[in-house]
Amino acid sequence: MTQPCFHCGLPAFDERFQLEVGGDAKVFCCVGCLAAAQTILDAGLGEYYRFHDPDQTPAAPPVSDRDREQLALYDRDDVQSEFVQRLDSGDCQATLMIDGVSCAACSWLIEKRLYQQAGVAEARFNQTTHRLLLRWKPGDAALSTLFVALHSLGYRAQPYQADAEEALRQKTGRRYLLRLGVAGIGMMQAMMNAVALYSGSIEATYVHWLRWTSLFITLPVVIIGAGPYFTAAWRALKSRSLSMDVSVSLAIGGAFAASVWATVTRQGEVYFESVSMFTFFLVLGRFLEFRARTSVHASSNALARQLPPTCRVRVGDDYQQRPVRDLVVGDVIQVRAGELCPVDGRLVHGASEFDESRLTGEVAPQPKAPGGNVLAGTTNLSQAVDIEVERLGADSSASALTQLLERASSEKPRLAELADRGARHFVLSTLLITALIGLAWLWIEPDRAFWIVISVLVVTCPCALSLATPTVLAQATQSLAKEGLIVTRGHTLERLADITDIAFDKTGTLTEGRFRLIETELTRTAQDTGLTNDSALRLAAALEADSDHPLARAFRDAAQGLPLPAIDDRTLHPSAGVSGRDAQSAYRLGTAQFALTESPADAQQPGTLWLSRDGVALARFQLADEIRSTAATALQQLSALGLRCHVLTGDPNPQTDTRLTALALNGDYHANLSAADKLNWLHEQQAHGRHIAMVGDGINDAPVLAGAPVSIALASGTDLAKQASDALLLNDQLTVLASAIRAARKTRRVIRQNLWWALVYNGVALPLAALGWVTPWQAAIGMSASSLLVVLNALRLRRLN
Amino acid sequence: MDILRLLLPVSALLLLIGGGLFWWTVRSGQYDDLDSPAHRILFDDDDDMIPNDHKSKRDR
Repeated sequence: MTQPCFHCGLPAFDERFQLEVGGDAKVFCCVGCLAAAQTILDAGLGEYYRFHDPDQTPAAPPVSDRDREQLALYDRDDVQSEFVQRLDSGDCQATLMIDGVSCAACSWLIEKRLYQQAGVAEARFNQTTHRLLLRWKPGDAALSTLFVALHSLGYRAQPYQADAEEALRQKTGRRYLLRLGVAGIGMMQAMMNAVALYSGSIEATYVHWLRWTSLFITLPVVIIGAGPYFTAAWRALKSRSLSMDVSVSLAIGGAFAASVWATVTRQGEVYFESVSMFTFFLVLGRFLEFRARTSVHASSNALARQLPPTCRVRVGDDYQQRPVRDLVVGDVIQVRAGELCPVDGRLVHGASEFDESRLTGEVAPQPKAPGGNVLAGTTNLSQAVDIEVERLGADSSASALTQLLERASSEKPRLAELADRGARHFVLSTLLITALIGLAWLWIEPDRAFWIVISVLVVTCPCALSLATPTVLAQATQSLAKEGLIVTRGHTLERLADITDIAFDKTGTLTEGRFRLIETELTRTAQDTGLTNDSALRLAAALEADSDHPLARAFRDAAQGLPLPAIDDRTLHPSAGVSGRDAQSAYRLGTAQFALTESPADAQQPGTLWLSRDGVALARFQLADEIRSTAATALQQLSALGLRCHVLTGDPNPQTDTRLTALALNGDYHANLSAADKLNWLHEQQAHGRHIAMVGDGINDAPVLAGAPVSIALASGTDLAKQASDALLLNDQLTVLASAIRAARKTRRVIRQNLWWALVYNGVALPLAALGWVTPWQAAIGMSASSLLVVLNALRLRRLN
Repeated sequence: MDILRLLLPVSALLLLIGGGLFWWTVRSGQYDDLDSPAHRILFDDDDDMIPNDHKSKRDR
């Protein structure tokens, strides 16, 4: 029986991660959660657990010395100059982006913990944008200690700078609010005046008085609230196309102009209240849609921001720390173990292994010897090497990928245009019909022609039609967000309903993306000498204590909290293993060839490491990148929905991963694919008429994520992948995908119902209005009722399943 | 009914003031974070502000 992790609520498989909380032993799922909980309790912030929502993301791994070293970079003035503002009061202020926040209690915890630090003057966390505004006294607090404080709570922080897109988003949001407020206030007052007018028991002089007041109240509504529709319509007309905005503007403009005319000439009816109500509903629908789309969006920094800001450059026989932007081609830099390489270059001295998973998706470390090429954005795993700079910044492999990504995203809008076509036909036909009716009435009875045209425009006003889609989308988006799927683009849901295939990246998506020790087997020799599984593990962890290799991390995680034996002379042997010795004997941990003097027959299994003493095998460790616990259920649900599930992986092993065969994979399995291969596969499938959703996490997935009709990135993924995707899965629960597709199909159904209703209503009302049987005020009531019905229908999406 | 002549301009004036205040609140970013303040008020972390709470006095 597995219990949920006390900190994050995920199932805790490992019983060693325990902590006494308030007299009870609580279990944790990983070291990260355990360490975070320990920090929280030690800081006297145990209240957090009273409020926190246990359905959240696991905490980041605890802060290592290497993390501290890297975070210390933030204390440097040249690094700080990029994102820290010095205020007149002498304080410093910066905005940080925080990862891993899942509930309201997190924001409480973050603020409380920061206020406990010396020198913090202000810490304000915005839960909507996941940004922290931090003001501190530079004399009392080093910025790096504040970073460490955040990291030890289990949240990752990075400096944040608003880019142009972000600033624009904020401005748009505020403008929407302003328009909504103006339209709302105007609507209420205009309605009150309308009630007085419709009551009919008012003297003629007061009627004009009321009409003039209504006019002045509605004026700002039309200018501020509906202004953007007019400009959008004008733009559409200039580019010789028709959009919903054109008919919306015609209806608002026409009804307002007619009412002004009626007010000035003192004859006919006024419809100021309809104008402002229509504007209000329209702005509300668009605003809700906008807010749902942008409530959480991927942080704006691409790969460039992840590269280290400074590096060690060789000057003569010495090394100097210098900003990366000062590097020139031909410089020799040192990249130490655990550091990201900031440039593309050639290895000139030393040997090591590099983790290229961020670029290629391949988790196995790549050995590099002198002469070998090292790519920007890859991590040095074993030991310090010297690299000669060959390509920098815009030319480096990291930005080549970014360019591929940009190309793929620019191919997208053509698909989006298809969705607009239907609306355009509708607008065009209503305008033509209205014109014809107008001409006909001019011929029959010129006096009534103008008012009948207005009636027809109001009746056929695509109000319900234009509300039909956005309100449904807004409601569905919001409901999905509650389940943990954040939709970041408007067309995602429409496309998701058409999906026939779903393709997964393997590492980090179907699997957790980090190694875990799953099996330890002792040899006879070891059992005879009284070695236990535990002591073998402690030996292995002690040997790996220095390394930043993913396999080493698995040992350290497994042995967390256990005392380690003393091992000297630890040496890393790239792509083989580690060696070390204690007082009596020499130990080796690594591949069979490296660790053992005579290899057993079945030694060549992937993910198997051997521990040996003086060349004699002691234990065999089996490590694996674990399949996500939700993967099996998710795939089953997806196939039950009639989807084909594929796996696209950068893994060089062409054989289907044995652990995946148990899953309900009914599509292709492609291994050894580069980012470009994945994109090609996608285009090939699209040429066969398949609609594909792509689920991924790595930078290498970014181009294919951007190119796929629908793409979903995992929140634990890289920023670039998140940016390239249409939706973000916040809680890493793959089962949400199935409910998203169900929701998308339901959304499409409701949209169709809405459109159908709007068309039926227009089909009935239009002839009546054309015959002159509907006065404009009756038309306005009909229009409002049809809009209301559409909005109520959309609200049904509040419950997804 | 003459009162309408007075009331209508007054309501228009009030609207103008209300609209102006609304514009100011939007401009000063008061609607930028609609989630955190709603939750923040619910956290019972104000023990130390309650005068007769002995426990918190001891802590200080």
